[in-house]
Amino acid sequence: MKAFALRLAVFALMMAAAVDVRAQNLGSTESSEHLIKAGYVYNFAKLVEWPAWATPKGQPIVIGVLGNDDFAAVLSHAVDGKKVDDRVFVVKRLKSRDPLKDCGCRILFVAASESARTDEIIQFQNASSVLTIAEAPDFAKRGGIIALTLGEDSKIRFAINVDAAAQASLTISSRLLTLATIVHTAR
Amino acid sequence: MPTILLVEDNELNRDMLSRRLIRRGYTVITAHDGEQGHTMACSDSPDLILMDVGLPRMDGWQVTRLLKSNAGTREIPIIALTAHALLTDREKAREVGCDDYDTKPIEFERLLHKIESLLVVKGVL
Amino acid sequence: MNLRNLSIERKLTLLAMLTSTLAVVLSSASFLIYDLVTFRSILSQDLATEAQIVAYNSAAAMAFNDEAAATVQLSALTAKQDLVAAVLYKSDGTVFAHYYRAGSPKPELPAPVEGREARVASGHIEVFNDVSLRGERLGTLFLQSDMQRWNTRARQYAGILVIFVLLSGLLAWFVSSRMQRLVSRPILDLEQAMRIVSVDKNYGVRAVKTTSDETGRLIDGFNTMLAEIQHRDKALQRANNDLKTRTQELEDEIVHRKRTQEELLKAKDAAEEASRAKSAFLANMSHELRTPLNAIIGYSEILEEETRDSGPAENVRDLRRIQGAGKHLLSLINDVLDLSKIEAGKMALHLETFEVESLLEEMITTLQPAAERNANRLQLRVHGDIGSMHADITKVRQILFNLLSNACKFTENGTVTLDAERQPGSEDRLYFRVTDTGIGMTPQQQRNLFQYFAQADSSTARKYGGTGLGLAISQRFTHMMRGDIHVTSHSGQGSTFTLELPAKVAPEAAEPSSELPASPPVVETLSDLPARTTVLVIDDDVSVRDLMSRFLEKLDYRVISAPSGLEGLRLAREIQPDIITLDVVMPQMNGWDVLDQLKSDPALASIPVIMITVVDHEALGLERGASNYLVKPIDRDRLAEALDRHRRPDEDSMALALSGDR
Repeated sequence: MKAFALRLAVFALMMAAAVDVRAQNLGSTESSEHLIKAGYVYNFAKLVEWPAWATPKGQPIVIGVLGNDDFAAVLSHAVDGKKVDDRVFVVKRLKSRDPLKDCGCRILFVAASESARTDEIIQFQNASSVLTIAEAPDFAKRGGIIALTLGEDSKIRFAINVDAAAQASLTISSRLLTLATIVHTAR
Repeated sequence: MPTILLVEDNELNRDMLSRRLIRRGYTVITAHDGEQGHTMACSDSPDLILMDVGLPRMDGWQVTRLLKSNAGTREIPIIALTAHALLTDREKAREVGCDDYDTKPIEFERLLHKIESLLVVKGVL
Repeated sequence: MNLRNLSIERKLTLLAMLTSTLAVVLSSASFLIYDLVTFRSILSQDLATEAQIVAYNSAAAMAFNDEAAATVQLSALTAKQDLVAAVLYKSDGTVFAHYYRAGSPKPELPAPVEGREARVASGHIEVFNDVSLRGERLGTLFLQSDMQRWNTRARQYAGILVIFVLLSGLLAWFVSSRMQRLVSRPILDLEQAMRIVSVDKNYGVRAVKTTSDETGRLIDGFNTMLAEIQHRDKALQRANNDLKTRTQELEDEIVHRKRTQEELLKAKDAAEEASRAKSAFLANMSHELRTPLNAIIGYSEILEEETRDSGPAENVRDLRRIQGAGKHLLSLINDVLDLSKIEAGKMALHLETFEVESLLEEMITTLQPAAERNANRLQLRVHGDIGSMHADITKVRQILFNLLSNACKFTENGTVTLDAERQPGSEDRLYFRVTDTGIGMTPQQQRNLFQYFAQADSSTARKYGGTGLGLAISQRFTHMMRGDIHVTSHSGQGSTFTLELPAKVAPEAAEPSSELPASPPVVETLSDLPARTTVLVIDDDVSVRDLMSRFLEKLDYRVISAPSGLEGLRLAREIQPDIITLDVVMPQMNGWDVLDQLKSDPALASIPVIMITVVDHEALGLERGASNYLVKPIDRDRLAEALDRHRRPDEDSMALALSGDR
């Protein structure tokens, strides 16, 4: 019964998200964009696999949100109660000054405001097998894994640097790759 | 004396028999064929007729039949004389109504005896 | 066409073809069905697998709500030719993305079904499959296939099957049309042989045996049968030929016998004709001879009488010699006439009943002059009561006259004795013995005594006269009356002639050839009433016979009746009736035939016949010898009159001795 109720809630959320996106498209409100990006982050989590050492059983998947607490709130709300392989989600707000080491994140969402820390983030990502998602459009080209951007047609698009993903020992589902723009690290 | 009509075509027999009868006292008249015999029997009314059967023109049987069927001559006794010594002649003689019968050659005494007995019956003698 | 009238060849071919084709069709069809069913389930599984893959692949697109990517993914299904439609439903049931095969009409989309499901509906396979990502259901994929491959396969299979069946049928026909000869050839050969036998009737044909199976045995049986038929045919032929030969022989024999019979008949006719001519000649001769004799005897008698009265005595003696010679000649003629009648079988008996003693006395009186001529004493001795006898008085008289006159002739100065005796017993017979004391006879003379023209010797005739026929005639008359005549004599010591006769001479005695047994009642009646006139009534109508009997018996006739011509003839011979009345219209043998037979039978010819009939042919009747002719219905008075004319006279006043003095 509990599962059913949960599923129903997600459904309602998804509907709301769709409505929100539409509304965002019409009205460009920040909250609806957050909501859609939260759904994307959730879907990414389902289509990416971490190396076994990074995801011990029973451990929650920690999503770190750097630089945007509003989004963190929306995301936290969106993934609340959802599971991937019996692992729940935990959303952690990170401050701009917070050290990334030992934050325990498997996914790190980087708001556009934190673009200055990109190199540090990329270092961290490679060292700790963290799926990094950034709103900076050149993030993937600079060595990040996923760049999540709002296109001119108000649709959200994403680009994936498969080299970076491989360097971070992450396996990205082909199904996700078919939907993404594939980029390589510029040298 | 009684009159006897002798009907006989054979001249010798006629002569011989008539002479012998005449010698015995009979009146004899003769005829030489059947027709004449019949005529004379009717006209001369003899007391007895000696009738040869083998006659020309009308044979003795026929003449006898005629005479016996005629009331006027029926009572005249007729003795048939035949040369055929056959028994059928005897029968025939009876049949046509002859009163007696004798065969030739004539045994005169026997014939005479027959004549006499017939005349006695008739009452002439 | 009726299957049963097909030839054995066709039947066998057809049988093999049908059997093999049926087997092929059945096995192929079961294989086909199995294959198609299997293929359909494979198709169904394939489609389900396809659905799984597509659902997996399109899950991300659905998750990211990327309709275009989903559509692109579905479009990849174009390669699947039999796929009609592929549709992605969102979890709320609305269509997210779809693919319809080009050229096909847009199918009616069913409501999505959760989970997995494969179904076959109206020639289509439909598959539903959930679309989910990491356990989360996002929507439903629907795939619809029109089983094009299955249909194609089925069509191909059907085509192959038809070709296969045709080929196998052809092969079966080819093989069976050759193999059937194994069975049909011997049968057809047998049939051919049978046809030859039945058409040509040639039983020498044999069917050739090529196999040792049932047909071979059939042919053996047929050949055995043919051999048997041939054997019997030959036997039959032989018998037939034998029969033909024998028939031919018989026919030849019959022809031969017929010819002989005809010749015999001709000879008989000729003989009878000759006999008749002879009899007629004799009768005429006797007449012609008698007429002049009549004159000779008559005139010599007249002369004798006249001479006795007036003429010389020597002339009287001479005239008497003339008379004697004439009378001898007359007796010769009479004897010859009698003999001719006996020979011709025309001598008939005329039986009547008469007193014996008066006859004997008459004989003695008649012969007295002859006895006296030789100075003999003639005496009659009647022993006991001799009574009457029933016989032909004329013939009895003639026999006794002959015996007595012979005795007187051959005896001089002696005694001639006539003894008469009746010996009643089992057979009532009369014995007449004529004994003389004359010259007697030697045994040799006695032996020839009854031969024609037999006298003791030729000198006897000169001395004693006589014809030499008298005893022969007497003996035959005696035999006709079933009597006997014999002699005992010693030369020089006289002779004794014994005549024995039955007291009642049987009528048929006159006809020794027809020895029919007399029916006892008739004989009794005859012996009871010998003197009454007997009338034989021949009529096929019983009522006429009855009427006639009663009427005639009232008139004191004795009546015997016969119901047919044949019986009438038999009775006529048996009883010698005095009168016969004869009906004309009778079955089997009519009255005319009876009349002819009566008149041609010498023993019966003298019996008067009165024809009584409805048919008026008086002239014909009289011409054929009938005495009277009466037409039915019978006038009783005329019948009485006709009968009365033939009634037996009470005394034989008209009887005359043919023999005269002898």
